[in-house]
Amino acid sequence: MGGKSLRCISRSLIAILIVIVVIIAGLAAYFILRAPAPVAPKPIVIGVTDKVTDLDPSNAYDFFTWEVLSNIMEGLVRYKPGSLDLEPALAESWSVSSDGMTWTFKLREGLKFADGTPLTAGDVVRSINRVMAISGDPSWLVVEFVDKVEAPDNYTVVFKLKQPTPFFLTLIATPPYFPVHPAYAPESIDSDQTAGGAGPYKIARFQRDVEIVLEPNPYYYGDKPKSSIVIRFYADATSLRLAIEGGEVDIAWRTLRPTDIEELSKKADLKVIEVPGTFIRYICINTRMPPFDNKLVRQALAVAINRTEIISIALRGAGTPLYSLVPIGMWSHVDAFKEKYGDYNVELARNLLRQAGYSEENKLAVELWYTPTHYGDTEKDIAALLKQQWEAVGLIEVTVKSAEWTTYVSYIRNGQLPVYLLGWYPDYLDPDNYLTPFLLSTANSWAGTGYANETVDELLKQASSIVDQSKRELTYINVQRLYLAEDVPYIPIFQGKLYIVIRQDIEGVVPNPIMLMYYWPIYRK
Amino acid sequence: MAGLSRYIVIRASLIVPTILILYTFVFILLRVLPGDPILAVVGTRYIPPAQLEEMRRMAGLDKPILVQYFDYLLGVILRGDFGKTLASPVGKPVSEYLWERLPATIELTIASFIVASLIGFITGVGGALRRGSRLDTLIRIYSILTYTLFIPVLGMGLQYLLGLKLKLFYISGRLSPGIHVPKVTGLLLLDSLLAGDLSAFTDALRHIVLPSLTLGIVLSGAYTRLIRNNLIEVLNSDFIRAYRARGIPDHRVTMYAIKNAFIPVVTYMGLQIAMLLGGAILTETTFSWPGLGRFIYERIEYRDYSSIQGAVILFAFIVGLMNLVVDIMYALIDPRVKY
Repeated sequence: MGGKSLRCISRSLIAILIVIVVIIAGLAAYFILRAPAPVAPKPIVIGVTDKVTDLDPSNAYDFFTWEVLSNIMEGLVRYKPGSLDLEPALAESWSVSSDGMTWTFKLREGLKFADGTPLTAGDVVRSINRVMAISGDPSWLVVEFVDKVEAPDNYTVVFKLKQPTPFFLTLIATPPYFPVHPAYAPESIDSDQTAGGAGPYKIARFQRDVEIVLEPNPYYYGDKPKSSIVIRFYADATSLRLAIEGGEVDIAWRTLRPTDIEELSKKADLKVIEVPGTFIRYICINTRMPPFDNKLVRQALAVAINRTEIISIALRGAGTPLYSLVPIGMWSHVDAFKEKYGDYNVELARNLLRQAGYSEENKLAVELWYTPTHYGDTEKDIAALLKQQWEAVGLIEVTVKSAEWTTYVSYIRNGQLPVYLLGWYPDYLDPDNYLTPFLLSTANSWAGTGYANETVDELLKQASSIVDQSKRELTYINVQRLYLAEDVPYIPIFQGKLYIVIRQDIEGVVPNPIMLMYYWPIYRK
Repeated sequence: MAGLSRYIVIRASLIVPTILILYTFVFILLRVLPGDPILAVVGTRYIPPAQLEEMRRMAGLDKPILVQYFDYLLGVILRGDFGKTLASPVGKPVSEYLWERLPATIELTIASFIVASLIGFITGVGGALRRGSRLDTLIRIYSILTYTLFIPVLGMGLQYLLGLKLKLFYISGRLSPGIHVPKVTGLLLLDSLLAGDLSAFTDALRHIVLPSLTLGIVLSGAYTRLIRNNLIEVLNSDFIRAYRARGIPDHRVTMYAIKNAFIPVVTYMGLQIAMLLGGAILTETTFSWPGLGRFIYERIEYRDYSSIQGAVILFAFIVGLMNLVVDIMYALIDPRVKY
């Protein structure tokens, strides 16, 4: 009886449970599948794996935050969309004194912040003085160049510089120089302040690390944006890829992997736009650590690299071989390493190492370091290929090691690593920003190479203050050819490309060499 | 009653050493790791050395280790001050992040708990009542398999199948862009109902299904085994035989058995809170769910000592509190518990 009753009970129980589950499933299906109520025009959703660190330009110092700031604020000048040329923005004109020490900007009339508050020259002065006083991370971009800034009237801003700075306009285009709304705390960092500036957008809502909603600024002087924008933050490239494939985002930007780009480019409902990059990847060599204090060793390592293979295999083509620290397309760029050594010369590498005293029995031991995620998932492959290429010389043995970013940076700054991979995104677009931070002995401690050359120091200091562009260019060319390629504290490998993945119904995305996306031309067909 | 009060006080006081031990462990571990919060933020950017030192001083990292330890601990105990973030953005009160992110984690934890309990109950009872059958075998295999599941892998699988291919649910976040729910509790499902916004409720539901299914499935196996084994044991016990011998209907006997089998499960549920919160870190990262788990994951990369310590202390407090509630419930349910 017990067994039969138990079966009856269990059947009844299961039947009851099935009925409950069916009811729940039915309700769920009703709620889930019913058409939602009509909503306002859909905003364009941009997915990123970067973060907005600080909405305060006095302290924001990372690429993606600068992109957001460039859309909710504007400087006196800005880059023309799709180009490296600077054009008037909040300022309609400017002039520079003959000694290069005084820059005068004339503001447009009728400028307003996103809430209608008038913007005058006094706001520009207030904002720049604020950056100097707060001394946040990027403040050196102002402090090292500007002695003082004045507003003789409501429409004129005068900068007095500490020394002639021929690339001052490129500095003015960076966020630390953007005028900010008076709501920003005057003497402290205001990281979550959403009052913004006088850019094409205003912040409607900001939820840190979740999303930021931008709406057109009704008081913007220029062309009004065509659509609201929502930026959503994803934890990693996989989540972002799923989001663009599933239609949850309209634009996937910063940063998908090369394999993702390759596969997404085959989808009929998506298109991929290539962005010419100004970021560079290179190898650092600790010139104070034996045996890398020997120039012959450094030259041998430089000569034995097959850049084409690295770009083809590790990056699936998402890069261009680079033979100098100054990127291709920037004035004063020369293929310094290629001119001196040719391209991938294994025999020359062997000769150099033999001159340095190495042989098949006494191989050069190289410890090559990389960081696994900071520059994307391709680092391990790049390191593996370098190992393969160097060992193909026959006189080198390579051990590959890695450390996560924070540890990696700590080791580098302490000069503990011998040979390691790094990348550089420019602060401002001028050859000075690609040479001085690397080669000037008083500025390159962050890189851990220990490189110091008095002649190079002198040349770089001169070049940063020469007004004559052609003389500057010649100086930078000489530095690249005679010192960078000769002393080899760094080995440039490739110049990166970025990719934007977009739904087919999205138009107006303009790839910018400055790698900051302007949102205002973007619209949905 | 005096006995129960003493029991509660003793149990409650155990939370304090738990938090203290955990805080000390995390404090030491963070400082043993190479790198510091300032370098994590600065990276390879050019910052003058004097400015770097000033940043360290402002973050309190120039103080002796013991001073840092007690400063932070006393700040939490005496002022409820979890410190300020040391990284991106610098100087924000950690408590702001904790209270902002906590509701998302609680909502996910509750939903996952419901999923795990439902699956565990149905499969555990089914397996016990059909002991020895093919169904029981399948259920036991399921309970073992769940132990081998890795949350990100299961999560991505569900994202692909149910999100991408069948487009039934959303694969990331809590709400679709453009939808906003006025915050009352921070639990979006509840807040949207309170606001009378069924569209937002539906949207929030479609977002929470996949992450809660993922975490719930992974944890359900333990419930399945516990409920099944307990129920089998109870069904074979003397008092159940006595009930049957007295002619009590079988369905009532089964209900009595289930109630008795559930007593140890209640205790286990308290322990599960810790596992749910721990599992939330991986789940939130996989689904870009903006909760405390994801916050901890991101802050570890920054070596943001204050944020990590604050989140760990809060987690420990929640786990301790939930275990206290479970202990009290257990004392009330089970007459054998003496206090």
